[in-house]
Amino acid sequence: MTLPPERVLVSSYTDRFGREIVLYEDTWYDHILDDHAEMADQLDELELAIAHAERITQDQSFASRQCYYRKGHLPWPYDRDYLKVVVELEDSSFGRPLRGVVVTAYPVEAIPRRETRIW
Amino acid sequence: MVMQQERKMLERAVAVVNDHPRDITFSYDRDSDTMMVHFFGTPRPAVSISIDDPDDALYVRLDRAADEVVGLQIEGFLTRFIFRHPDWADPLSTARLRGITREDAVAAAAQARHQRHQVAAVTDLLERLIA
Repeated sequence: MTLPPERVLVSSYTDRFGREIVLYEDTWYDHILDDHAEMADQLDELELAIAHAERITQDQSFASRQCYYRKGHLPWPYDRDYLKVVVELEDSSFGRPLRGVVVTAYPVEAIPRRETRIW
Repeated sequence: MVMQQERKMLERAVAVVNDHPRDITFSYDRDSDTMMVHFFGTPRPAVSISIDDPDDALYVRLDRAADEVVGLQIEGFLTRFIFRHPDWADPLSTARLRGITREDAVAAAAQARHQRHQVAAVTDLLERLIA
């Protein structure tokens, strides 16, 4: 995934595999908060879902994406749901460590059955 | 085939759409390739409930506080979904867009329709030959 140089970083996280996962401002404000109002004030939870994911799966639609899940840490009435964070993994060619970019995040009731477990 | 709980959720969605046909809005985000359908015009806080489907990544959006179905979420919209459901090209002409121009969105929709027709022509020929 090629990123335009003008993208502004919100934060950078490290997942269970030691991979750097970054979140950009336009993703957080223009997509996640715009379309998923329930994610307001949940930036810390997004970080925890990446750093301490209870499950990591292969995305159903994109081979280059993985999904991070953490359950039971969102405020009511979503306190029994999972937070799902979808990450696009960049090409690890040229000896660079694999890196990921958050593309979306939202609560889900359950992990979709057709996503293959990675961790 | 969807399970009983999913079927009920879909039936609730149909009822909401029938009750508020003029309130539906769409928003599309290119980076995530997500089409959001908002049944009440503006996005409402909700949980996404997966609809088990072998081909499409679909979710019904449920506002838990109000216990109300408030929308749909379609993942892989331009990459996969629109090729199987070319009628869904139309919302791209009015959807709120992020990361893609209106011109590019409409062009992608037209390409999906075109490809669908080509695939249909090929399969039609093959089925005639088989028959």
